[in-house]
Parts: sequence; C-alpha cells; structure tokens
Amino acid sequence: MKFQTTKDNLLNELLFINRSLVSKPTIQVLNGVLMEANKLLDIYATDLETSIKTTLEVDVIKEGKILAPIKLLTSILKTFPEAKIEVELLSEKNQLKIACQNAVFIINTYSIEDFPQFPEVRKGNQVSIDSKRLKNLISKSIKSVSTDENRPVLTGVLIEISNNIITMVSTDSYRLSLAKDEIDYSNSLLKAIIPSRVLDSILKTDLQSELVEINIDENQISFNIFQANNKAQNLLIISRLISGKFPEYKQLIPSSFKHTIILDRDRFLEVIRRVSSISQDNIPIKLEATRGKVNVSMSIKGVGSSSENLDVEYGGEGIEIAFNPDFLLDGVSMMDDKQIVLNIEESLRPALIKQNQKENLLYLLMPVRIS
Amino acid sequence: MDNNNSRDIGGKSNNINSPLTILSWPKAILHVDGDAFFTSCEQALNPSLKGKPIVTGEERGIAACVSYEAKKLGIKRGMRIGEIRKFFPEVKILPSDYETYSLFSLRMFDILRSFSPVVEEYSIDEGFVDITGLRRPYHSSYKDIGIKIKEKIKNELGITVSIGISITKVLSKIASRLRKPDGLTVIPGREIHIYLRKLPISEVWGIGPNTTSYLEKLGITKALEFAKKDEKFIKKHLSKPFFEIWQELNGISIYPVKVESKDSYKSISKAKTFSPPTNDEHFLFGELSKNLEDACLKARKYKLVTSKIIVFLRTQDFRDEAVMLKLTRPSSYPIEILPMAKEGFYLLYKKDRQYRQTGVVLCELVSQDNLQLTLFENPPRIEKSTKLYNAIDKLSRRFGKHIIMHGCSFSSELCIKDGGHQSSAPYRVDNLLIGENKRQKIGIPMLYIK
Repeated sequence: MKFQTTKDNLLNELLFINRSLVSKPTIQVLNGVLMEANKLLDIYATDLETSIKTTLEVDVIKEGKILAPIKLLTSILKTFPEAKIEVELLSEKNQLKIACQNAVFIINTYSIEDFPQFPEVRKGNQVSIDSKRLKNLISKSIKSVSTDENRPVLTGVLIEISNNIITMVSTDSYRLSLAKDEIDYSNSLLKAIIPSRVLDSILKTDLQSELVEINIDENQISFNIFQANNKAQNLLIISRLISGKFPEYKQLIPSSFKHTIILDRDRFLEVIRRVSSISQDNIPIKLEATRGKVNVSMSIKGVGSSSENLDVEYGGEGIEIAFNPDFLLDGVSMMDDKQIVLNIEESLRPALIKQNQKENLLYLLMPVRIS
Repeated sequence: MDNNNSRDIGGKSNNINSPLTILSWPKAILHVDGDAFFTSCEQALNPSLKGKPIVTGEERGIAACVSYEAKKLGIKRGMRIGEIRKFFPEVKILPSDYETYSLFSLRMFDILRSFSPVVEEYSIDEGFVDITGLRRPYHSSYKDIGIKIKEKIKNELGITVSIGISITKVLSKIASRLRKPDGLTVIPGREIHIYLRKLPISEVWGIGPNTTSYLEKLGITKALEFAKKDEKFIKKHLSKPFFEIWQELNGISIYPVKVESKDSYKSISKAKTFSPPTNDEHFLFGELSKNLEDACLKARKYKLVTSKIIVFLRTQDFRDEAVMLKLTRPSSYPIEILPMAKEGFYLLYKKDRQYRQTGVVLCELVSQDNLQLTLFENPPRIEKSTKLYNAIDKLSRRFGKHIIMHGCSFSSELCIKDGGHQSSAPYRVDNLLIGENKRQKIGIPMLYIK
C-alpha cells in the first residue's frame, strides 16, 4: 500500500475518529485504525459500541491495507508542517513508513486479522434528513441527557419517527428536552435509544448541508453522511442502541397549566445570568410572578442576595417557583424564537418552557423545593 | 500550617537523651479517660458490686465493658457472654444501662466545664480540656489541677478516671494511658522524649496496625524514633495526617480542643445487636426497619436527606454481609426507603444462618433544603409523607422514639413479647419511680435500695 495526500486531509479524519471513540479501549487492537487504499482511501475504526468508516480522496500509488496505532499516527502527523505526505506499507516487516519533506517515520503495525469485523449497514427502516437539521435536532434534544450510568436508558436520546415527524427526547429525571422536525417518512413507528456519545460526535463533524441517511434496526443505528458536492467523500457512523424502556415522556408533559407567562428570551437569559452570578452549589434561583412582572432573585446565606424585575406578559395571580439556575438557563437558551412561554402549574409541579407559537421545542423542568 | 514558634523540630539530634522541645508549657491540654466506665457506673450505683468482677453487655451477647476486677481474671472486652458465664461463673453479668451511663457522662463533662470552658466531648467517657493559663487562678500547678479534677469526679460521681496532662492532644492521650486506673501523668515539654523512648509506635493515637507495620519496614518501632525523624523524611514517606501526629509528638499543638457539639453528619448509621442470635426473618427485618426509622429520625433532626443506603446483617460468627442501595430520590422518610431496604434485606438473608445484628447506614447525606425534585415523583404524595413525618417527629419528641412505628418494625416488638429474643432489661427500666413512665423519667440515676 502506498498513497500521497496532504497532512491536514488525513489528520482531520484521524482526530475526528479519536474524539468519537472511547479513548482507552480494553482490547489492544482497538487502538488501531484500519486504512485500505483502492481507488480511494477507506479508514475504519471501532470501539465495539461505535464504528466509524470514512472515505477520503487521496493519490493511491499502490493498493493495499494496514492496521496502524491511531494515537501514534496522529501525534506524528501533528508535528508535520502543512505539506504533502507519503504513507507506505513496508511489507517485509509489516511496518508503516510516513514521510513529509525530509522527515521519515517508521512505525510498527498490528496484524490485520485481529481487527473486528466491521458492522454492516442493514437497510431496513431508512429515512433521509439534511445534516443541518439533524444537528439542530441533536443539539436541542441532547441537553437533558443523564450521565448516571445506573440508569443506562437515560444516558441516551430517544428518537421516534412516524407520520412524517421526527422527535428526539432526553431526560435526566430532573428535566426533559424535546425537539421535533418534519421528515419524509410515513411507515410504521420507528423508535430507538441512541447513546449520546455518538450524537455528540455527529455534532462535532464540520459538515454543513449534506444528506444523512439513517438506518435503524433492532440493535443498531447507522448514519451515512454524503458530501453534497462530492459523493465519493463520505462518512459512515454505526452505533449500537441502548436497550431498555425509555420513560413514557408524553405522560410526563402536562396538557394544561394554570399560569402562562410570555417573556422576551434574550432579556430573560440576561437577567438569569446576572442574578445567578453570585451562584454557588445547590442554590436555587427564585421566580415570583405578579401582574405584568417577574421578579428573579437569589439569596445565599452568608454571601448576599441579588434581584431583578422583568416586564412580561402575565395577567394571572401571584405565583412563586424556584429552579436550579443552570437547568433554567439550558431551557431558555434552547428556544429559537424571540418570545418564549413559561407555563407553571404550581410551586412543586413541573414547569414547561416552549416557543410562543410553535410546539417543536419543549423543555420540561422540575422545580427545587425551598423551605 | 500553624507553626507559630517556627522551631526546628525533629531530626536535629539522634541522641535519645536530648529533649524534643525546650518549652515546658506552651499549652496545657488535659485528657480524661473513664476507667472501665460502664462497669464503674454500675459499681457506683450499687456499692455491693464494688471490688467484684462485673461485665456489662448482656443484651448484646458480648462484653461491652469489663471491670478491672474481671480484667484480672483474664476477661477481655468483646468476649462472648456465653463463654464468660461458662468459664467465670463468679462474674456478675449486667445488661447495659446506657441511660444511666450517659447521665454519668453528662455530669462528668459538667465537672470538667467547671474548671475550664474549653472542653471537648470526645466520646461518652473521654474528653479533652484546655487548661492553658489556669495555674494562676487556681494557685496551683497543672498537676494539682489534674488532682483536683480527679477528686471532684471521685467524690461527686463515685467513679475513677485517669488523667494525662501535656502540651498537645496526642501527648496528653499517651499520658493518660500510662497509669491506669485512677492515674495521673504529667508530661511537660522538655520531658516528652523520656516518655516516648519506650512507647511502641502502635500506642500512639492515630497510628493503626497498617501504619505500624509500614513504619516497622522503615525501621521505626518506638514513638521517639518517629518523633526524631526530620520533616523531610516524614513528608516523603507519609501523608498529611501523620505529619500532623509527628508535629503533635514534637510538642507542636495542631489539633485544637473542639468545644462545639456535632451539628452535621456525612453519614448516619444505626445498628443493634440482639441475643440470642436468630434467623426469624420477620424479627430480623423488624429490627432492621427499626434501625432505619431511628436513622431517618436522626437525619430529619439535622434536616438531612440520603440518596444511598447500606443494609447489613451480622451473622452469629461475626461475619458482616452488606448491600448498598441507591434511592431514586433523596429522602429521609422510611415509608419511601423501606421497600428498597426490604429488597436489600432479602438479597442478604439466608434461611440457614443465625444473625446477631442488623444495621443501616444512610450515606451521601445532603441538606433537605433546596432539594431538586424529579419528574418521576409525585409531589402530592411527598407532601403527604412530609406531614406524616412531621407529626411522627412531634410525637417522638414528646413521648420518645418508637411511640409510633411502621408495621414491619412492630414484628420485632411482638417477638420480644413472645419472650426469648431480648434478655433482661437494666434495673432502671424495670423499676420506675412514682410518676415516671417508660419514656418520661427523672434524669437521675437511681441507687439500688435494699
């Protein structure tokens, strides 16, 4: 195997793989990245949960394949100037030679036979979505994902596709975020819990407006991302799904609320940030709504207090509720519209943040009990 | 670090005759340790037991406290009551009467406080007193102050204590152990080295068996060898707590005498031993549930909630089996925790084993204020529980704990009535004064009247 390309072309792909996979796999061979040169260069890597295949355009001089340690490869490439590099398999000792200008590195490689078989894309339930919209859905819905490994289903994002609507939901049991969009799909309901890690790596891709093909089956999901201008250069991410039952989120969201407050999103964000600037661990931010006004305040024993009034559209009776300030910020900043709605039932019941006219983004937040 | 007199300490001289410090009394800390406290209390109340070998802890099945007379026979703390009965029939075995012991303890600390306001209640029978600067008001030496304290305790309570006086807490604790019972040892700064010379390092407060064997590998077996090492050596080989002990041994007071009583906990544990051992699952779970109710009562008193609990069972042959359980939401209400505790209990419980103790530990305690609620809980039900336990707490404060209890705790009470599981109660419990009831008693120990 022998090919030539620019340093950045190869390095960027390797860095993306590095970020997306578990950094210290238990099996040594998983530290390796499989490079196969035909007409193009295919790069394969896996941590057994997530598998990535990316295809690059390079100048292939000789076909062949090799399994090389990815960490070593990236640290070598990082030291190179932005220039042409040449990668070659020295077949007698199964070593990899990387050259850039006058520098030459020769590194040992792993045996290709040990590399696990790359999962197949099983084309069954397939939908297509524009990558920008997918990224938007992910960035909104991933906000409430849990890090508590004791409840694995909550560490993932639920995806539901039916009736031309795609819905993505996450909850850490304190809050729930939901994002919806239109999609071209009218078959029976598709449902899966996707590990947040793989969604995170899709967010980190620098793709702009490409077509993403999503395939879902019983235990895996694949994202096949095609470059808009270049069909050859594509990225395939396959992940296993989280098994288990996701909470019935629809039952958690109340259908009606006693109090409805309409606020200016940016002003509200600004006030929350300012008032909670004195914040310490575990100190809630308090909202007191009266006619036409919300008072946002925080008070910390032995430190001090802060308070600010905000003009809002509200005609109901006085109500008081307290939230974790970080959770509240997450919810308000998740909304796109300038005007947002805060729905409150009572002080110890969940509150809902949504956009004024649309129901495509919802953020359900449980309050903090204050004495 | 508080090293106000910035002296060079340790390592200066390997000569075992050179003092560790030249200052005699930069500080004066007195350590009081009750002599066989529980049995001494029993003997003080019932003079006919004086001079006789007695042991307390009948209800636990193991000796909780052994009087000096019984120690002479070779009985040690932790020995099984059955064995003592068998091999030492002359020994009088009593059930523990913690109520009386804590009254004695209260009085003892009151006496200490009459000398100096800076008193730390380290345990029921052990305390530290900062007596720095009291020589002038009392017109006496530190040693004479120690004698006065001893006499006052002996005259007023009828028990003896051993006292150590030195310039740091660690040294005063070493001093009080040197002469026991009824002893008094004074170690002024310039005599520290004399007392440490022969003292095994394992006898120093805070140095356990692991550190002892580690230090042995470094060639240190005596406290003086440890104290004489230089700062560099200590910091290289040991962690901060041991550096502090090393400073204390060198006469630099690091540990202050802490006056305030405890007002916050990281964890709360409640366990109870019963005798004879049993495998009756209803009784065992009843005991466990009672422990849980106790622990939750304490948590609520300090306005804390737990999100992780440990349930454990101790078998007849003193093996502990435990399981840790995570709650879906932080709580201090047994009604919410009991179902999980039950699951945990049945993970541990084996029909063919005999158990002698059950217990629970509430871990990861956090303040109940500003508690983040979860979407999956039911606020009206929680408000109901809150009201319920507010009422229970009110009743417990008035009539004593367990005046109202969960049904599953009651099964342990039923077993007591069936007889067999609980042994005899302390004298004070069975013999009430006129006007007293089981929960409301006059706060004085009652003398045996014959």
